[in-house]
Amino acid sequence: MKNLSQATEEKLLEYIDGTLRAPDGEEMAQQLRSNSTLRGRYEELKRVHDALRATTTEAPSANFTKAVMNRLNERPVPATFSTRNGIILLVVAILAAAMATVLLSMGVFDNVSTPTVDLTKINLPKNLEQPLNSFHMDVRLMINVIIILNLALAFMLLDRAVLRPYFKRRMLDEVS
Amino acid sequence: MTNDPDQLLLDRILSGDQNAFADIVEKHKRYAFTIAVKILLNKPEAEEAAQDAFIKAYQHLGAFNRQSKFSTWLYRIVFNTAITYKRKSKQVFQSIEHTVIAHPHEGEGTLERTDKQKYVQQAMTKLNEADRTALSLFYLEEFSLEEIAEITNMAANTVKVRIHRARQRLGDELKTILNEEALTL
Repeated sequence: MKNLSQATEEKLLEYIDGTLRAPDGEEMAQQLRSNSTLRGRYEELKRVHDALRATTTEAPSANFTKAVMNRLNERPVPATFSTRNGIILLVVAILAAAMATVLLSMGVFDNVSTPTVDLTKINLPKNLEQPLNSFHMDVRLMINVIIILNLALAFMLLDRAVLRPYFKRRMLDEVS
Repeated sequence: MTNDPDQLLLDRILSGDQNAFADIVEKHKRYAFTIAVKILLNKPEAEEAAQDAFIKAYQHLGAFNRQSKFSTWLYRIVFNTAITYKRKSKQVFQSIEHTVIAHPHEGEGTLERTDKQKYVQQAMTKLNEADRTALSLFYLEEFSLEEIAEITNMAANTVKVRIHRARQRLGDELKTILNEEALTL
C-alpha cells in the first residue's frame, strides 16, 4: 500500500474525529470514495478509533478510599530542593570555587600569616600525662579543600537539578 | 479562579474537616486509578501509586493555587507519581503476558469487535506511558486537550500531535497483528 503524507493522515484523523471543517470534510469524503489507498488507511484508523471509543475507567479495589484515609496522617516525605533552587545553588557553588581559584592563583593567600593553634595552654586533667602540641594551619591547603568541596557540591547539583530533570523530561517528550 | 465543583470540599478540608477528603477520594479514585494503570500496566502497583498520589495531594493541598481545576491538579500528581513508580520499577522489560490488557464491554459486542479491542489494547502496551495516558484521557471524553496537556506536563499542541501519531502507530500495529493472525489460520 502506498504511504500517505503525514498531512493527509492528520486530516484523515480529524475527519474520523469529526473536527474537519465543512469544505475539507466534503473533499475528504469524496476522496475516500475514489481513492482506495486512502480508504484502506481510513478503515485501519477507524478500527482503532472505534476500539478506543470503548475505553472505560478502571475500578480500584473496594477498600481504596479506606486505605487512603488510614494513611492520611503519614509523615510527608521531605521535599528535595526544586530545580530552580538547585540551579541557583549550582551557580553559587561554581562562583565560589572560581573566585577561590582566582584568588589562590593571584597569590592572595601567600602572604596571609598562618595561624597557630596552641594546645599546650589548655589545662588538662591531671590524669592525662601526655601534653598536647601546637600546630600550624595552612591557609592555602584550607582554600584548596574548600574548592574541592565546592566542586563536588557543584557536580552533585548539576546531576540532581539539571541532568536528571532534563533526561526525565526528554524521556517524556520522546515521540514514539 | 475556576468554577471548580470541588471547591466546597476543599474549603472544608482546609478548615480541618479531614473526612471531607474521603468524598474527594471517592469522586476521583476511578480516574486516578485509570491514569496509574495506563502508565504502570500493573494493577497492584497502580493502586499503590494512586493512593500515594492522593496522600501527596492532601499533604500539599495548601499549595494548590486554584488557578486550574482541582481534578487536573490531582491527576497531574497521579501522573507524576506513577511515572516515578515506573522509573523505580526494576522491570525494565515487561512482557505482554504480564501486562494489564483491558477488554471493555466484553460480551456486549460481536466476537470480532471484542477481538479488535483486545488487539488495540495489546498494541497500546507498545506505546510509551505518556502517549498511552494521553490517548486514554482523550477517549474518556472527559478532558479537553488543554487539561490533558496539564496532566501530562506537555504543551496542548504536542498532546494533539502525539495523540494523532499514537493512533497512526496503533493502526500500523493492528494491521501487523491482523496479518499475523490471518497467516496462522
